[in-house]
Amino acid sequence: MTARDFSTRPVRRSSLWDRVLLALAAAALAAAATVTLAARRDLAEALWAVEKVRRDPPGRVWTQERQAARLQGLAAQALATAEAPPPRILADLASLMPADVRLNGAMLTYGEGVSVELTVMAREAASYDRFLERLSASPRFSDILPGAESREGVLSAPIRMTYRGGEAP
Amino acid sequence: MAFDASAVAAAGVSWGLSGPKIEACALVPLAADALLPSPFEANLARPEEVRAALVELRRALGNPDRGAILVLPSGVARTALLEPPADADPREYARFRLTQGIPYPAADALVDILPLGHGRFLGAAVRRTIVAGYEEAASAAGWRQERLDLAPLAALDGLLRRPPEGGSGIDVILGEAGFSLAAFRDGAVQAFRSRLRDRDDGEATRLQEEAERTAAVAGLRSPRIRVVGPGARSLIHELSFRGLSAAAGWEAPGDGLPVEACELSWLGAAR
Repeated sequence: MTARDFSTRPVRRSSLWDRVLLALAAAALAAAATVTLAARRDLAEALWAVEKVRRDPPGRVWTQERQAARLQGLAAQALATAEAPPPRILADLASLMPADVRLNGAMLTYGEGVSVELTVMAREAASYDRFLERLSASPRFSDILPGAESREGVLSAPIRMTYRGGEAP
Repeated sequence: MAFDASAVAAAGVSWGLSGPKIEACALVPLAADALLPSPFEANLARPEEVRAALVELRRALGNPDRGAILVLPSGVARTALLEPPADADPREYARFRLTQGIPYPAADALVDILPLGHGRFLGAAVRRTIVAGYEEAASAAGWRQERLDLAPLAALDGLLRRPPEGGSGIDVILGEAGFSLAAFRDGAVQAFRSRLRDRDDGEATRLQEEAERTAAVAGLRSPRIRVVGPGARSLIHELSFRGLSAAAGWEAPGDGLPVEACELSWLGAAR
């Protein structure tokens, strides 16, 4: 309670208790302001971090790229499988083989393209060479890579190539 | 700085556990009828004489720069012991009670209170024009007013700082135009009465009778009496001579004081 005052123009002065309360209120206000500023700073940092991640998320980009590449690979594989089924590849190879050359083994790997690994046997080397020439000349095969030849009675050799496909002749 | 009918006085006062401590004190007499305490009429009958006394008073104290508490004399205000409802603002309640029946507009009443404890307050109302006369005189003499108090409330404020022994007793607050009596019982103020003062022969008897009636109102028998204000020491002697228990409301070292501290009822205005 303020000191009694019968003045015609009283000036209500604060009591000691009022001043103590005022000082406590000022201290509380200062503490609240400090906490608020710290919170705003933390918020700004958090927003900045969020924005940074949103704009430049390396992990997410990497994941997306990897995922896209994976999806692209799967799509390509599916497309290649649809366009170049094994019977068709084997039929195309058979059409290029001379009469004394026969297929001893074949492995087809579908990816972005179709990788073909063959093991062929030829009674004569000339027939084997003629087969290589026909492969090289064929637009359906590329990247022809003949392996080491074995000549123990008959010629046996692995050949690696890529099947390119295309419309049937 | 206090006004009364026969003098203006001022002191530098602080209060300790043992009572008031007076740094400096000066008193300047007033000519007869220069100041006439009254609740309705202008009190400063000869304002120039009062202003001159106030100038001299300032000079006697070395023209102090600090603000002064102006204390108006007994006899200028209407007072009442109040016990407002718990949900009422004490000042508003005092205004409501004290402005009923006053012979001037309620808006012209300056009202304030003295908390007494136990949910009770002493309220007082004084006419604005009366206060303005004193304020103008003080300002014209160079006094810087900090606030304004009334002698009966200031005195009771000081007496409350050292309640009567045992919590019961009668306090007599003397002014030159009026006096007040406060009855304490069980540590609480039970009654507060104000009367005009008659300083003719037999005053001690009349004051004793008023004290006894006030004690009866408060349910007290043979109470101890404390006295402050002009004439306090004389009354204490007279009452003691009659076998009553009477003492000064407060004491202070008297070296250099123009009067005893108990003669200055307004010392209670200071903190």
